[in-house]
Amino acid sequence: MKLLATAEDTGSIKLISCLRGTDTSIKDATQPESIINHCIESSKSKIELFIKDDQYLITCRFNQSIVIYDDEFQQVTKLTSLSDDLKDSFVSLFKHLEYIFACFKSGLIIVLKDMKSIGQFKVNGPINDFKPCTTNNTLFAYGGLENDLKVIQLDYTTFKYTTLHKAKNVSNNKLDLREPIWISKIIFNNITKIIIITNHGQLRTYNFEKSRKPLHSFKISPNIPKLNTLCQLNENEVIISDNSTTIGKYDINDGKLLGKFIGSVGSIQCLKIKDNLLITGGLDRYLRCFDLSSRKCIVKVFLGTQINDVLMLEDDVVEVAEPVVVEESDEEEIWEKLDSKKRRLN
Amino acid sequence: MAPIDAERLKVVKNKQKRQKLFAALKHEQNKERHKIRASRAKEERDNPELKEKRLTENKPETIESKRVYDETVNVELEGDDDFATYFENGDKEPKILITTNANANKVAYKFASILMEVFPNCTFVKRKREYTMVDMAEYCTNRDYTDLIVINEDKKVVNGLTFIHLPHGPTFYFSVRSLVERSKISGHGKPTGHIPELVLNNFTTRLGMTVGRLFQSLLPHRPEFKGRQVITLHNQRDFIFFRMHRYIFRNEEKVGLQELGPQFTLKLRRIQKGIKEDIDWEHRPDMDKDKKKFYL
Repeated sequence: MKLLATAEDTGSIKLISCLRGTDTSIKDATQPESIINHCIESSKSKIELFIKDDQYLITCRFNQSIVIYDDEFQQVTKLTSLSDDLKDSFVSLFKHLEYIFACFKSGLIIVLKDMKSIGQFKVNGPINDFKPCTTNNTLFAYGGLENDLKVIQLDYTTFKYTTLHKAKNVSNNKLDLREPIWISKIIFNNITKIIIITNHGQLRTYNFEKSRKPLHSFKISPNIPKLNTLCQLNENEVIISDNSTTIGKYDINDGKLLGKFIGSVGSIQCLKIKDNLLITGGLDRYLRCFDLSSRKCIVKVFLGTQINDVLMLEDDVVEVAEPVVVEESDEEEIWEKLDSKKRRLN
Repeated sequence: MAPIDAERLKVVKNKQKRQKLFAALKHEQNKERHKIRASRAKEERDNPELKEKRLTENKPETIESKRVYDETVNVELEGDDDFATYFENGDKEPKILITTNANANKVAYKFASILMEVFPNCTFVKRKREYTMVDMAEYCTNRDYTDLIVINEDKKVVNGLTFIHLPHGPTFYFSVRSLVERSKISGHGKPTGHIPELVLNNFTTRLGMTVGRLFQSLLPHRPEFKGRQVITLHNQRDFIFFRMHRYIFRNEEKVGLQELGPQFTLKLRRIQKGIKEDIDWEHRPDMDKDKKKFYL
């Protein structure tokens, strides 16, 4: 399989080609075929997020620039000084219809088309995530620190938006104190189903047709720290990682932990699902692939630098092992023997 | 009397008798062993090659020699990490602020004064309850400090040390144990104000290198060799032993060492990115299960 990972220390993209079963931590196990560094810059311009278009690789760098590379990792265009605030960082990058949206923490959203910036708009910041609706092309959701979930409708011609829904905070706690808001990641399926995680360790689901308050709000674990990354497995299950070492599969209807993906030593910075694989990368400098059904780690590669984002380009053909045929004759013999013993006893 | 053997011992039912016989058996075995060793020593004295051969063949197996394979051992550092500014900018000297946990006991202040003698360019500030470590890190950054050290004391025992590299982290937390003050070390000397040299032993893995770079960045670039003082941080089985000595070259072969103290042992518990943000590495109790796996 071919994987891409962004290296924080070198500001580069690493292209990893390896087979299933690769494990660099075991001397005799399969080793990766190659790990090649591309687009090397410095840690000051590290790649925070990247996506793969049909032919281009769009990267958001730490120095507030968007750099587009072709298939051979040659730079095609570079858009610089996109934000006035030098401390501003990218929080979200996605392709929606024919547009590419790059969102800053301050709430500034840059819209690209055909490798050119065609417009920008600003939502109320600070935001930690900005996501499009998967069923309605004009709807987007965002939220952040003390900035509760909002759903907006965007006009693609003028890039002006109207706020359709504003979430309402949950009721005060037992001590009648207000619950703080700190949204970290969002999944926006439709108006009736928005899933968010917060940096206070909560998993929440919203249905704006029923109520502005969350339908469910679960504190995933009493001691759990900030929740970092979120991705959807199916209608009822999500995978969440925190700023410690846990990667867990949770049920969104009851907030129960359904299983853990074990192995990580450092915080996970990115989770991606492709087919039946979960690809993770984080501060422990390892890129891991887990099988979603068995939750076993099938690829573990040491990259030497901390990883900010990962992407799978292609998977290798899975060789299905031939089922071992059990010879029935032996079994029958054993049964016969047992039967004969019984008869003797009788 | 027939020679004693282990089989015969089992038959003897009286415990005292049996113990006596066993002692005699042991004594005989020891005698025999000493005889063999004496004769071997004699042979080896005549022929030193034999000794060399024996020593190369009979290498004792230690936990270190049986260490589990780690692909990160001696890898080259890629790119630049948070300590890069210290190594690139040779003129900028480290500036350290030392403080304790809130409501600290006398022992914490005593340890702080010890650390101030060890690290040059240190300032001690009494901890105020209203400021968190994140606040302190911000104030220190504004005042051009490069590192913040927080001593943790619990029940009148110093049990932890937090190192925050400024301005952007990382944060290290070590547990401290086996602290021996200078006055308790026999034949100890007194450190002078010279900048000491630093010896880092066995920091081989990628994680170990990060820890090594932290300690490097706490001391100025150029030691004052005139002072002949050395700080040694020796890593063995993930325990970091801190020692400080003064050396003297007595002649071309002999070197004299005088311990300056203090002695203490550190164990890495946690590394966090930034100032107490995402966890980079954290010690878990199940990591101690495999005795042959080391992380530093």
